[in-house]
Amino acid sequence: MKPTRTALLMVIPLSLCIYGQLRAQHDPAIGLLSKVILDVNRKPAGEDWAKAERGETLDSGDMVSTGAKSLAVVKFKDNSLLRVRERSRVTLTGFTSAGAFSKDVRIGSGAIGFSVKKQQPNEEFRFTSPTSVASVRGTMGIFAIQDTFDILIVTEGVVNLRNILTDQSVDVEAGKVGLSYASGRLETRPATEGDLEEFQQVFGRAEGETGGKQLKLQLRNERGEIRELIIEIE
Amino acid sequence: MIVRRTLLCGVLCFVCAAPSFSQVSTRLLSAEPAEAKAGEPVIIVAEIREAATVSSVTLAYRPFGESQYHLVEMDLVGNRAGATLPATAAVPPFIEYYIVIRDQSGTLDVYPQAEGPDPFTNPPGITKRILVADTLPSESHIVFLSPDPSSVLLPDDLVISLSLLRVDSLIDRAYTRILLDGSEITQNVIFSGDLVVYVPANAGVLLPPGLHTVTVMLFDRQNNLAATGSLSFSVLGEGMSVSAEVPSRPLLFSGSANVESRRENVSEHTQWYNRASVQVRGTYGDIRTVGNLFITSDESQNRQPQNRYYLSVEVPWLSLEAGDAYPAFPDLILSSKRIRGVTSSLKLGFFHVDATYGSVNRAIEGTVISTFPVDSLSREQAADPTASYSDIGGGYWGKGVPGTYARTLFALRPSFGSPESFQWGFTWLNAKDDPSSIRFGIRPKENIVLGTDLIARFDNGRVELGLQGAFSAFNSDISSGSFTDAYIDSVYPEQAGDIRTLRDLLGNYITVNDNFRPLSLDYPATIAAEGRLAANYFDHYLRLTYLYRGADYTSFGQSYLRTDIQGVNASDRFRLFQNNVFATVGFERLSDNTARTKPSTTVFTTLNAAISYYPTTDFPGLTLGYARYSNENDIAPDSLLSISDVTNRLSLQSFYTFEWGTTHTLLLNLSSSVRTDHTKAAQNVNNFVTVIGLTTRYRIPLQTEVSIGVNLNELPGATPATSSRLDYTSLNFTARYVAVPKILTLIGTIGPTFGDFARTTLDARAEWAFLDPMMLLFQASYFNNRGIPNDTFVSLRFLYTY
Repeated sequence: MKPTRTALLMVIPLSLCIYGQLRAQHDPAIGLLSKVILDVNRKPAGEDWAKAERGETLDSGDMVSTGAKSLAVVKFKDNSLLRVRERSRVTLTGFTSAGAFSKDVRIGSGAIGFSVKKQQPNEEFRFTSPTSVASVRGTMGIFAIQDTFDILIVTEGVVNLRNILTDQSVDVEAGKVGLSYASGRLETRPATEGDLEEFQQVFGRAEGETGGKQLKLQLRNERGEIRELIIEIE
Repeated sequence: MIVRRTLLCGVLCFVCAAPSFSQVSTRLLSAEPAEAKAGEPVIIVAEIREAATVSSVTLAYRPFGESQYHLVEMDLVGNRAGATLPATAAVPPFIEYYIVIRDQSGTLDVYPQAEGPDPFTNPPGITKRILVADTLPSESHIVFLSPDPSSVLLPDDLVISLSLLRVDSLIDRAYTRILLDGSEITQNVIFSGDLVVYVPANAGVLLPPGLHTVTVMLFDRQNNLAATGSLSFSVLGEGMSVSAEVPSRPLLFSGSANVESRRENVSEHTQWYNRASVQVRGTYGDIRTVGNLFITSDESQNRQPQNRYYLSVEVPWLSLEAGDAYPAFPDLILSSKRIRGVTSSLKLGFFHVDATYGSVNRAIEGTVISTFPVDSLSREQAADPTASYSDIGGGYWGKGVPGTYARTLFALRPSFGSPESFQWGFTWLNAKDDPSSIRFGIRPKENIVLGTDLIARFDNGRVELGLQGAFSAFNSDISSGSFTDAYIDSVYPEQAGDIRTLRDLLGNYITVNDNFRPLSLDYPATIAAEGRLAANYFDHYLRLTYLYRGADYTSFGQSYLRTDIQGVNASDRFRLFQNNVFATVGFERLSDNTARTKPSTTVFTTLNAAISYYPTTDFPGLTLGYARYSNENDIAPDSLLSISDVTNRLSLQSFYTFEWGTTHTLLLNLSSSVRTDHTKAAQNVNNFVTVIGLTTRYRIPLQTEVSIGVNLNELPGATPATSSRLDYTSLNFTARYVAVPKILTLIGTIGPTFGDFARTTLDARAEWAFLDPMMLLFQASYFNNRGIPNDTFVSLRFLYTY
């Protein structure tokens, strides 16, 4: 085989690969607002706050805030769910690398309920606050920040909670509460009935969106037979 | 953020075909497909001109990683020849093939062109390729984000959203379709990266109360449907009505009718073809039926059947087919064979029976050359022993060109178990020429095959074991009938007992005489066996095959099986970088001389590797392949019997879809093949092919294809160690314009070829849906040839679908 042909066959794919790597950097929408109740605002990176609408997609770096008695439900594109409770503010970032989608939710204030789908290899879901970092891999719970500490309630799975000041971490298992103090102290305790009630208020009966009510309808088909249709409603 | 417009729906209506990579043929107008899916059967269809003069069309194909071509006779229906490659042949990244057309005078036409006179022993250096895309991994799926499945919500709360984050990189998201209650809503859907969002209220749509279903359809790069997903939810409202109808199973049927008149003027000879076909499909509950009828004016008693008819009825436990069928049996025994008769498959739980019986060859009488008195017979036979002789009465005999005997075939395969987990089958085949079917014929033949096959799958199909074995007996001339006792005693006095026993044992199944094989059971010359082990773990698909085919193995159900070969083939196909990269490495070592009757054993060794990149971003996809084929025997190079050659092949294929004013797809194909013959004959071959094509889909309903192909060939000369050149450049310009949407489409092609082979092709087509569902299709082609008369083709076709 002539050297020029061989070189041609080798150089072209190499050039294309380099070109591709240069182009494969951007990361578009990471999730959307699937529910908006009352006063919810969104601030895209580099823009001003504006009233948020149901169905809006969220890009990496967007902020979401809720007012009094308001609620925003965020669905990430891996189907992980956040319930941003009233008077909360979060910044959402995410990036995809080699097919793995990693997310970071920075909580400026308030509380968040989360239902995080099982993460793929090399994927990460983190909550960060000025005090703590919680690494989540397929769990449900609540993460809230107070004036002097963060509180993490876990109802399913395990969350690793790390205190930024001391760099100490602890695994918070289902049925337990993790507390990370601004002073650097880190502790866990069993969840109380009050903690679980708090969780129920955030999530209701089922995962995320479905409430516990049933609607029963009696319907008659063309043969005159009575059939009962039971449907779950919010 | 991209909001899809109606344009994309329009784009879906276009066929996203690759530019036609012109490779010169005088008989073959086109061959499809250009792409296939891994692990699925591949149907290859070739359009041929002057079909009335064609005797046979043979497809030679080679799955990636194998050195030897498999031969299949293509079924010629009208001017289209088709063949189905088995699923095992669809090995990424590509299948190579070429087509050999034999006309009634015996002349061969090869596509792409072959360097030697016999394309079966010396395949073309550059072949056609079908790109084989990997099938989607099982974890590939659509993620519905909202609403929740089966949820009930108010119309104002409804947000339909889904994520394509987890779908495979082989999906082309530009082709994604979204349907709500069966209606297309793609044009109103927001696509943002991996997210797909539709808010009915924002689109001014108020869904009525009741059950609703959203359906997502994903397509691969070839615009083939690759995956679907659906989600149902209910909308609440006043006067809510939810259907509780019990679904009924009405009679459903569909079909089409097709009438064509075609005029071909080739080499100043004009031929008209008039053809009609009807296809019907119907279902009623569990009963399914399919019917096909094809009638053509080139049906003739002097050719094998050109008309086709077929009817099948199927219920879950039984299928019955009548007419021209292609029954599927173990491929060592019966494969890709048209049988005109009855085929059935019975499935009684654990026990299955497949059977077929019918005609594979129609009797075609030989042509009488001369007649002579009976007393001249001996002299005539001595002068021309290859001719056929028959008593024509009145004391006269005739001498003729041999015709074709009618041949019937019967096959039966009982099996136990299920092919999805474990199945063990036994196959019996017998086929026989009818010596009385024609007067002028020579050497009527007979064949029986007995085989067994086993398939076992473990660990959810990740491990697959397949075994096949077959024993054949073959008689190459049954005209004299079986041995008589007197003949055995006189010719084989020392083995008379054994031969008589053999005759008595097999005589009920096959004629036993001097032409019977196997002559001896000491060596397995009439045995074929194959074992295959495949494992699919950790993104690796490992395959190991051992095959043995004796030199005298014969099955009339598998006319083109290569015999006298044994060896191993191993390959590994694996995925890297989140399924963005696919790599294949393979090794094969085969050898002939299985009966040790040849002066030397030839070893065929193949090494190959290929790597494919399917990007998730808008970066070009590409496949880079290398193969080394080595054929060697141990005879000194200065001998005419010496075989010692090495072929190195390097190829690159790339495609890139990008937006630049509108949507473009760029295709690049580079292929280099160098064959070095170390023997005295020095039959060196050097090919280099470059093809660049650009398909553009405009915002108006216009699609254009432009391609250029440069073929540089250094071929063996008429005498050893000399060479000649055949260099040519082909251009292709095609435009497809939808003049009136859904009613009138116009297609035009200009294809000039320059260089050592020169001609210009003009082609014009129109598709006119003048009254739904009826359509007229018109095609006119003109070939301006250099040095020979020009050719024209005109066709008018009426199509009715229902």
